[in-house]
Amino acid sequence: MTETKQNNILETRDVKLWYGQKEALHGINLSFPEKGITALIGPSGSGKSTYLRALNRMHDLEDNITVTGTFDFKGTDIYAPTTDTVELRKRIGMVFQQPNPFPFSIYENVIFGLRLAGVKDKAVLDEAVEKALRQASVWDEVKDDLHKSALGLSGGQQQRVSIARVLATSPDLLLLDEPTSALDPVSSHNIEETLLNLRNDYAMIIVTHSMSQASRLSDRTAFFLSGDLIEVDATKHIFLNPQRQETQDYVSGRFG
Amino acid sequence: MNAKTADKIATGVIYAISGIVALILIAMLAFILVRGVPHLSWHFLTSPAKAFEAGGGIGIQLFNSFYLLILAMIISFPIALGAAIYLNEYARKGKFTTIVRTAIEILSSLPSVVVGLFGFLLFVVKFHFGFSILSGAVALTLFNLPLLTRSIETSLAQIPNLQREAGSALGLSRWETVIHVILPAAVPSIVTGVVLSAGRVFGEAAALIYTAGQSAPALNFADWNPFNISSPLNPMRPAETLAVHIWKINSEGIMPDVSAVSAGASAVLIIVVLLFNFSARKIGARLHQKLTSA
Repeated sequence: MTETKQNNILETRDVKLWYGQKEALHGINLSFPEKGITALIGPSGSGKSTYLRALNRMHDLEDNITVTGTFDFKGTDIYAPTTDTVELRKRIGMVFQQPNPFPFSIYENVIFGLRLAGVKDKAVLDEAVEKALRQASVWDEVKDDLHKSALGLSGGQQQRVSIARVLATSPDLLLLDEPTSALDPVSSHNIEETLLNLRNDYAMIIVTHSMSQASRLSDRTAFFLSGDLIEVDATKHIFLNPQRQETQDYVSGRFG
Repeated sequence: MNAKTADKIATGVIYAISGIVALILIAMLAFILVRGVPHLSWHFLTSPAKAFEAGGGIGIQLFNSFYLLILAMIISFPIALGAAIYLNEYARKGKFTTIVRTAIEILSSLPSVVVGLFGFLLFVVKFHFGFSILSGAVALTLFNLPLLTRSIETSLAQIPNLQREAGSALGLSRWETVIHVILPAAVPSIVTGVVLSAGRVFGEAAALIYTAGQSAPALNFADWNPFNISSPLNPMRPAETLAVHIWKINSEGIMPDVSAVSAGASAVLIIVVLLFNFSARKIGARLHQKLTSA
């Protein structure tokens, strides 16, 4: 696998993961540059979501899951016993498949992380809310309703508020686990626009089932199959000129 | 018989059974209310009971019932909340959790008269609390704790895991997620559970007969110093509640208007319990609306 050596924000080597006795990831080597979008594609059960959730230690919440391998995040070993997962997850934000705003106002949702960090200055908070909501391209739709409950928004708006909530904590890396698969096409389109606007400022890793979404959004694409990383390359190479037969079969819709 | 007919018969039977259940409840309520409501008056609700002559009220018993309820809730709510948070948010499957859960199951299936006798032996006799509000409140706590714990645990379990994931993905510790995300989201349902259990506690008699006692000494409602024996707030005084009063006068009441007092007291008890039940849903729904409305 050929990767040009550059400044990577995250490098993982030989990542293996077990559910109990069952090995679900068989040694993944994958690195991510400082900016831009990497798409993880592959059929259901290929391990792409499992791999993504290993990157911010979301598997810690489950019993019975073992992760090994090297995870170098800007010089920090993600799985070192001394790593503070709370601090880690502020630097590696995550957006989920289902929009999951808290049952509070839009405003409170966005500044949630800041409030917990002890920020009290109203001017600072107001500014952070506007900035994050603008970055998430939802400001114009909600600016008059900031103090209404986030649960009253449409699914697509909720998802963009969820993204704003993550952005407000100023992460270095954004993990997106099928962020549009629970949304209608119009909302999905809005989310994609949002992500494209962010690609120059953030490193993002997106798991998606939609190959058209991967081709529209991502700079690089990694193809997973049965717990192995088959191929990773610039997105147009993966879709137009893949090196491996499995990749060719998948992107041309012959299986999966 | 084809599937369509079978479906019709089954539907009919189910409707009939639910109808019967509803009818029994309505008939019972109607009977108690029709017999009791005519005896209700401001005088009846506020004046003390009389042992030998007609015209007594249930004022002190009514006050005792509410006071005991509040004390029992103050003691049991924090414990139940803590236990529920532990069981739903922290406990992993294991021996200890199984033991705790089993203990709660058993505690919740103990007959309340057994709880009352246990309270009598331990608090009234051994700890020298005497027949008192305090003994009664602790006995009610034992009676209430398992049900309240289970109800709060259910409220917490209803909060989708998405919210916990969202919390930890934002860098919240487990405790911060519980305090800042899970509890606020569960408040409407917790409040509903608390008010419902208040209704159950309010009507409880057996656990109180041997703990809070069966006498209602005269109270001076001008004296709010809890250390004075005639003060309504004194937790060490014996305090017959409304439910105990109904039981008592029906078994050994000798006032001439005993059946009227009993009917009136029962009606008051039922009305208060119904109020708790209806307001539980109302308050829960309103809180939910307030917290989630767009």
